[in-house]
Formats: sequence, C-alpha cells, structure tokens
Amino acid sequence: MADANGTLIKMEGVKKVFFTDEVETHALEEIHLEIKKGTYISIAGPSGCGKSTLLSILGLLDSPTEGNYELNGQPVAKLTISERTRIRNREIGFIFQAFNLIGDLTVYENVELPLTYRGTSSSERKQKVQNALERVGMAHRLRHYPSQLSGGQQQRVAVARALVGDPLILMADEPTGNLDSKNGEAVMELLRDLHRNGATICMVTHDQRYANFAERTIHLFDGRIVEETQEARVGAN
Amino acid sequence: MRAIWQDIRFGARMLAKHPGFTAIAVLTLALGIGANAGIFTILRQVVLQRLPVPHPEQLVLLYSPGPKQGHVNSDESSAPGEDGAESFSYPMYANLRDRNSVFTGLAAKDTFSATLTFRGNTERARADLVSGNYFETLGVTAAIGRTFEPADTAAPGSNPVVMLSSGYWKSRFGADPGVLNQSVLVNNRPMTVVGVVSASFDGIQPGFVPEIYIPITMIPSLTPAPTDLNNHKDYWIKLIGRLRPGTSRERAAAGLAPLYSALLRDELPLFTGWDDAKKAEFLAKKLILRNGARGRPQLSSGAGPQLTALMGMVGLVLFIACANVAGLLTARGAARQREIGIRLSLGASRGRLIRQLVVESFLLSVTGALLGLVIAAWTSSSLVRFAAENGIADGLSSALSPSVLAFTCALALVSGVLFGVAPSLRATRVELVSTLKEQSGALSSGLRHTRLRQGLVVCQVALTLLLVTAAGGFARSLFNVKHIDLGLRTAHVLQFSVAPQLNGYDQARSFAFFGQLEDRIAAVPGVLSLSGTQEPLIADSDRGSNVTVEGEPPALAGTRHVMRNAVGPRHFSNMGIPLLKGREFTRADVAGSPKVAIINETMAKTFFPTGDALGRRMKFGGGSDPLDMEIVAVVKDSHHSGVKEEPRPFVYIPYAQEKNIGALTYYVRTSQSPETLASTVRGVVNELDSSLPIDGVRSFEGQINRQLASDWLIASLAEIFGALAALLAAIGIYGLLAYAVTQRTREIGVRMALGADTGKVGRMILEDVSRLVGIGVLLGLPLAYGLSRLVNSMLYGVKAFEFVTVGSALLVMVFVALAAAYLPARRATRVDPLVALRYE
Repeated sequence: MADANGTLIKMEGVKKVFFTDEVETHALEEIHLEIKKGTYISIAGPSGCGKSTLLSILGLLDSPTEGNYELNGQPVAKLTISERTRIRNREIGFIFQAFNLIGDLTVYENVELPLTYRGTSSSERKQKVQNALERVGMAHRLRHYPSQLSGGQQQRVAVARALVGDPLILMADEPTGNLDSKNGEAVMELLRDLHRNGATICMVTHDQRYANFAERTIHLFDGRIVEETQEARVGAN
Repeated sequence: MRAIWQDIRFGARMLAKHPGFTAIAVLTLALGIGANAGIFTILRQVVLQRLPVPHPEQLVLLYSPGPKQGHVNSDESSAPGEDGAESFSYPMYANLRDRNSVFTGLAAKDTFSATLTFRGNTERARADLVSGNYFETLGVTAAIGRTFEPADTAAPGSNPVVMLSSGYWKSRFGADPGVLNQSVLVNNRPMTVVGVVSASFDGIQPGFVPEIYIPITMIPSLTPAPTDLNNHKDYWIKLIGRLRPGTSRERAAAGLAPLYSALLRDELPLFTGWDDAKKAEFLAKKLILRNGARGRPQLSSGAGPQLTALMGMVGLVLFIACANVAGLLTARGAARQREIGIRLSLGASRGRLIRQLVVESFLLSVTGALLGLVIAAWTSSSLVRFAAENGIADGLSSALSPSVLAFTCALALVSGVLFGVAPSLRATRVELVSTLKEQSGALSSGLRHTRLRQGLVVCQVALTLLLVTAAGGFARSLFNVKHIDLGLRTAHVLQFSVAPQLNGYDQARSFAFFGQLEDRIAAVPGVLSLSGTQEPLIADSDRGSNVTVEGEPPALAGTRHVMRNAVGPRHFSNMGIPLLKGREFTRADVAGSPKVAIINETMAKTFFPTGDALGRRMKFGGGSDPLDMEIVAVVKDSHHSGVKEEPRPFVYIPYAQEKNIGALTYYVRTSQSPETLASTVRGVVNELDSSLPIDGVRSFEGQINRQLASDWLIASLAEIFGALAALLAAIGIYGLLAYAVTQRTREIGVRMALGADTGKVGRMILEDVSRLVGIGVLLGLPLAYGLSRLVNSMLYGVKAFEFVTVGSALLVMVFVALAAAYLPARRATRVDPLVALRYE
C-alpha cells in the first residue's frame, strides 16, 4: 500500500560502491528518487552509467552501500535476505533483457513459479496463470517450452510471469534489448497497455525511443541523476 | 507436503531430461550401493546375525583352555595354548549339566559324517550329534513330529531316532509328512524319523547346516570304532548353555568355578605322567563362558576379518562414488546458475532451492539404491554360490532380508546427503545481479573457481590409492600362495573319498573293499598309479599324536607332538614326494607284519638331530609299552592339511596297520585329464557296492583351488573394487578437467593468440592434473600405510605397504591421471583462437 500521497518508492542519498581487490567503483552517487503509484518511469543513460545497478537496488536484488530506500512506506535497505526474498516475491515483478525463462519448465510452469514460492493453492495458481497469459496473448502456448517460442513470445511470457502475482511494481531491465524492432515495439505496447490499466512500471533502457513510452524519464550519467523529464502525455513516440 | 511433491516431480523431470548425466550418476551410485549391500548380506549372516532362537543373548559357549591328555577333537582355530579349549569329554559334560545352578539348560553337540539310506538309496548327510536337551535348551521346536528329549540320550545306543532339518526334509523327502515314524538307515543302522526341525533353525554353527540330528548317545553304535562315552580323556563335545534369566556371564562363570574345580580334582588321578607343575596347571583350569548369541564362531572368526576388510573397501568405493556424483552435481549446479538466479529473483528462498536440489540428489540415490539392490542380489548370490561350491560355508542366504533393505535405505540416505548437500549449498550461492545479466565476459582462471570439485577429486585420488594399494597387496599375496611349493605333484590327479565304515563295513571287510577297489582302478586304461590316505590332503584335515622315539631323553618320552596320517602303498611316488632314504610302504605292510613308519625331513631333523633316523624305533603315546614301529624311510617335507602351513614333524604309517580305518581318500594319477576319469571311478565303486556313496570327486588341483578360494575371492574382489575406484577417479578427474577446459576456452584462445603453442597449452592442463593427483597421493600414502597395518595379517609373504605394491599403485594412479587428462588436454590444444575469442 502506497503512503498517503501515493508514493510507492522513495530513495534518499542512495550510494552504491563496488569493492574489487583494491579498486572502489562508485556505481551510484546521491540518488534521490520518488515514484508514485501508477507511474510509468524509465531510467535512461549510456552504458555503464549505473541504470541497471539502480534497478537492481530498486528490485531488491542488490542493496545500497549508503542511503535510505523505502518501498511502499517500508524501509528496505537493511532487510534480511529472507525478508527481501519475500518482498521480491509478493511486491515486485521482474522483466529481464534476456527473458530469463527456465528452459526446463513449460510456459505454464514458468509463469506459475512466483505463485509456487508464495504457497498459493493449485486451483488459484491455475486461474491466475491463465489470466496472466491471456493478458499477454500467450494463453494458447501453455504447454510449450521456451525454446519453442520466438524471442518476442518469450518476453511476453516473461511479462506474464512478472504480472501473475499482482505486484506493486514491474521492474523491466532493457526489456527490448534482445528483440528485433518489431517485437520490441510489441512488448513496449504491451507495457503501455498494462500501465493504462494501472500498473506501476520502472524500466531501464538505453534507447531513447523506448524511454519515451514512459511518462517520466530520469537520465543517469556516471551514477548520478543528471536530468529528469516528465511527459504530459504518455506514449509520445 | 505439496511443495515437496512438486520438487520430486520437477526433479524427476530434470533427471529424465538429462539422461546421460542421470545414467552415469545412477550407475555410479548403484555400483557403490549394490556392492555394499551385497557384501553386507553376507557379513550380516557371518558376523552379525543372532541365532533364530528365543533370547539368544542368554546363550553361552563353554571353553576350558589348559592341559589335556588323551584324544582331542578340535574344530576351532584358537590362540596359542588354547588348542581344543572348546572340546569337553562326555563325562565332564554330564557332570556340568546335572550339577550346575547357573544354566536353565546345558546342551552338547558335535558334527558327524553320516550316510543315510532311504528306500535303497544311500547318500552322505551332514549330521549333528546332539544331547537330548539340545532343542529344549535352544528353544527350537519341531515343524512336524517331535524334538529330542532328555530320555532319548538317557543311555548309550538306547534310542535309535533321528530328526531331519527342514531343508533336508524338503530336498530329500519332498516335504512328505509321511516320513514321520518311518525307518531309515543311518550308517547302516536302522533309525526312526521322529521329527523335522523348525524351518528357521539351521544349527548353531553358521556355515555348517546339519541335514540330520542324531542323539549323541547313539555314537557308539554308529561307528565300528568304539567310542566310550565314559572316557574322561576323550575331548570331542562342544557345549552351549542357556543362562538363567538375569544371570550375567561373569556371575555364571563364578558360580561354575567351584563345581569345575571339584570335577577336575576328581579327574586328576586319571592323568598319568605329569609333574607337579603340570598337575597344578590342570587343576587351575577355568571355565570360560563366551557369548553364544551368534552361535559357534568358526565362520565368523575365519571369514569375518576378510569380510570386514571387504566391507571397508566397498565403503570406500561408495565414498568415491559419492564424491564422483557430487562432482557431477557441482558441475551441473554451475550450469544451472542462471536458473537458480531466476528462481531467487522470483522469490524462492535459498532454503527452498537447496531443498529442491537435495530432493534431486535423493531421487538419484534412491534410483541408484533400487538398481543397487539388483546388483546386491547378484553379488550376494554369486558369493553364496562360490562359498558353497568351494566348501567355505553352507547355508548362507542370498535373500535381501529386511535388515539388508534397511541398510540399503540408510546407504541411499547417507549417500544422498554425502553427494547432494555440498553441491546444493554451492549451487545456491549465486551472485544474483551478474547471473541475471549474463555477465560472462571475464576470463576464468584455471581450476581456481572449482575448489569443491578439486577437493572431491583429491579425496577420490587419495582413497583410490588406498584401495589400489590394498588390491595390490592381496593380489601379490595370492600370487605368493599360488606359487608355494607344496612338495606334491598336483597335476593329472583325480581324488575321491569312500567310507565303507559308514555303510556298516567292519575293518576286515573295509580292507578287502579297499584292495579290490585299488586293483580295479589300477587296471583302468590311462591310470598310472593310485594311493589312499586316511586324512585327505590339503583339506584342513589334521590328526596328531604324542610320540616316543628311540634314543630321546626320558623326560621327553611321550611329550612331543607330531602330525600323522595313514597312507597306502606307493603313496609317496604317487604324490611326487621324494624319498630321501629307505623304502616306500608296500602291500606286505599289513596288520600282522612288523609295524613300520615313515617320517618327514623335519621330524628327522628335530627328533634325530645327530644320527640317522632310519632303522630307529618309535611309538605313538608314552608309557612303558615297547617301541612298536620301525622307521623305514625319511621323505621330503610336503604340505598336508593346507597350502599355507609350515613344515611340521610328520609320521606316516601304512593304513593297513592302522587300528581303525573307516574311510579313505584316493589319489589317482592319470595320463589324461583327471575329470574324464571321474565317471569311470564312480562306475568301479558302484560295481563293488552300489549303495556306497562316493564323495569329493574332483581333481587334486581343484581341491587346492578350493583351499585358496577365500584368498582368491578377496584378491579378486579387492582388484575389482580397486579397478572400480580407479575408473571412478578417472571419471572424476576427466569431468573436472573437461569442465575447466570449457571454462577456459577464451583464456586458451587469448594465450594462443598471444603465441602459446599447443605444447604449452597441453602442459598447462597436465600441471593442473599433476597438482591434484600429487596432493591426493600425499594424503593417500599415510592412509595406505595405516590400512596396511590392518590387512597385513590377511596377507601371505608380503606386506601391503611395500615398495613394489605402493610403487605399482602410484603407477596406476599416474596412468589413471594421464588417461583422464588426455581428452581434455587434446581438446585444449585444438582450440581455435578465432573461434575461442567469440566463445560465449
């Protein structure tokens, strides 16, 4: 549940430093960020600017070196591994550049996975998976394995998996990075439809065309937010 | 529960989708688990299993080490000074039975060779002579009819009754209940079948399953040789008692001590020729009560140590197999990093993923165990058959009992934990962000990132060195044993035994029969010579006596012990034993002619160190009787009872001058293959007496091989387990190197692009394997040294930790390492830099 003014994500002074041997790499510096519920935000910037690191911290795959991070009003920077796991499972949906579907599971089983870890009953899982796949237009491929699908279809399945648990926010990391332009456009349209239906989306992209699908874009450079743009109308492409 | 079922389903699918991996892992585990379960099936029966009687923990075996005089019949190998400690005289048994206050029953038994004739058909039968309270004391009932009662042994020869074992009743009598109260001939003496023993009971001596039970007091009427049940100096009975409930062995022994001392005091006047010290030693003899819950210990003390050693070896093989599968799972875990990363990102806890991977491990181990049971059944039935065919043990079962199944389940569980948990922990330690981003651009550095697998390979090498060293020790021991010079010509000889005495022949009729038999066989075409012996050769059969010889100090008269045998004419030339001086026995050496003896070289040197033995006189026993035998020859030492025996003083006499010859074993030398003569020999015996069983028909070399069967078995199994360990180690090393080469393809490409030639690349791989094998060998050598101290007592003429054995084992390890490294090294040297640098 977002706070009273609808803020879902709030970051203050977030820093991320990687230590390798004797080298310190400052990936993020002084990140201040607020994302309200229902927002479609993109994080843009050149390679190595820290956008994926920021998304990883936002998605609780990684933790900040310094700073505060509240998700849905709850401080999450210092949570235990199991608490972070639980939040990832229930409140965040991931969409990866490389789709990251499990090749040994069918489409149905891939989408079912977050619900399985949540302990959802079999009948409820079945219904939710069916709904999610229908939303992305992949309900007819339930029994297929990822290797039997095109890249675009795989990413649709990945989107269904991200949606199936009704997360508070979808985190998309270069969702079109491994797709041709036609499939890339289709996936972006799908995300836009989801947003129109109320989903909060946070997307990393280095492609300005796709960044423009979001209503708000923050630009990163050398780990700092250097610019923020807000579109009056969503989807000005 | 539902989640675990999901894990099982998914795990099964994962295994089915990778049939190559699954097959290798399951087969590896099946071999390890199966071999363990198979050996355990036998070990349990030989060493661990209690007698199938009520409260076996109350049973005790009685021993009394110390001086004896007279005849001692011993069937246990004992510590020095304890020879015949398990044997008691019948009067001593009767007194202990009737006058003790610590046993609810004290039973007696001895094994006995009998013939049983039923409806005109005579066969040899293994028999137990037992006291009337034997079954009552043990708590064994009859399947049909009745068991013996104390009244059956109230007086010598009074009750000619017999009981059948359940197995014999089924095999010989077709489980016909009508056999009850029917008359059979036992050693040609009519006896009535009064019962069949309960099916679960196979006697109290594992490895010897009696077919018939006879009241012990019937012995005088079953053999022409007079057996005096009142003789205090005839030690032949083995005792088993059941303690009163709540009485400990120590308390019982203390309770028996006054009675036993009194009985010894009563007996002392019967023992002549002893000085005061010997008499004091005799009177100080104690009764020792040993645990009888597992029955008499012949088999467990004989085969137990070897089986325990084998169990240890197969345990190591299983450990190596587990290490191998753990290595495979670690490699698979590395290949599944992405899948695991995805699952973690979607909210799976690490514990949940570990559980999923461990479930997969258990699926492998359970499948391996199921297949292992098939291997175990095959292994144990082969061992049981081998043991029975080679006279090592009868009555062992190859059935997979509930305890073997429980043992197999435990093995599956333990091996699942051993090989499954560490790789699962390793596999779920995922760097989430980089894994999900597929950041594989960095060059890997050799084996640095495979520490767990390296550790496993080092363990495999160390344990394999251990097993190969042990296998080398056993193989060399067998080689030594097989090349012992027995002092006998063993080739082209057929042996067989006949026991006319068991068919009721008296002595004169037996001699007549032997004479006819020898004449007829000698006339068979192809037969070169033959001779008979009272004690069979190389058959663990011993007979000995104290002797008095001419010219020895009076104090030694009748005190020195020698081995003896009664043999037929031309025995020494027939068996290839060189005559050093004097003459062979001839047909003229018969009962009425002057008594003669032939001694061996060791006896000549020991008893006549300064003079010529030829023409000197001697006798068996001491006392004032005249020296009734003349030494007519000295022969070279030869082995008598076993292959591994040391030379002992030996006296041969003509069997025609022996008092009581009921059976002879013949050795027929032939110009052809001895087996081809077998049917002819059977025919000749049959012509002379169709009711006389012929026993132990086999080549003499076959008999020697039976003697070496347990050495052969342990050496062969040790070699198989050593080879299996080496194969598993090779697979482990190969898997690790192949994985490392795959991981290093880009690195190798870069090196080659920078000018490294194929030799340098190949050396790089060999350096890796050398380091691992080197560490494994350094760890394995002290282990091998420790092991050698445990197995040395089972080896002959060699120690396990000797230069040749260890050097050979090291060579095997080098070969294993090179063979395992060959393909990965070759692949590394064939890397195309252009392709490798694009490698993902």
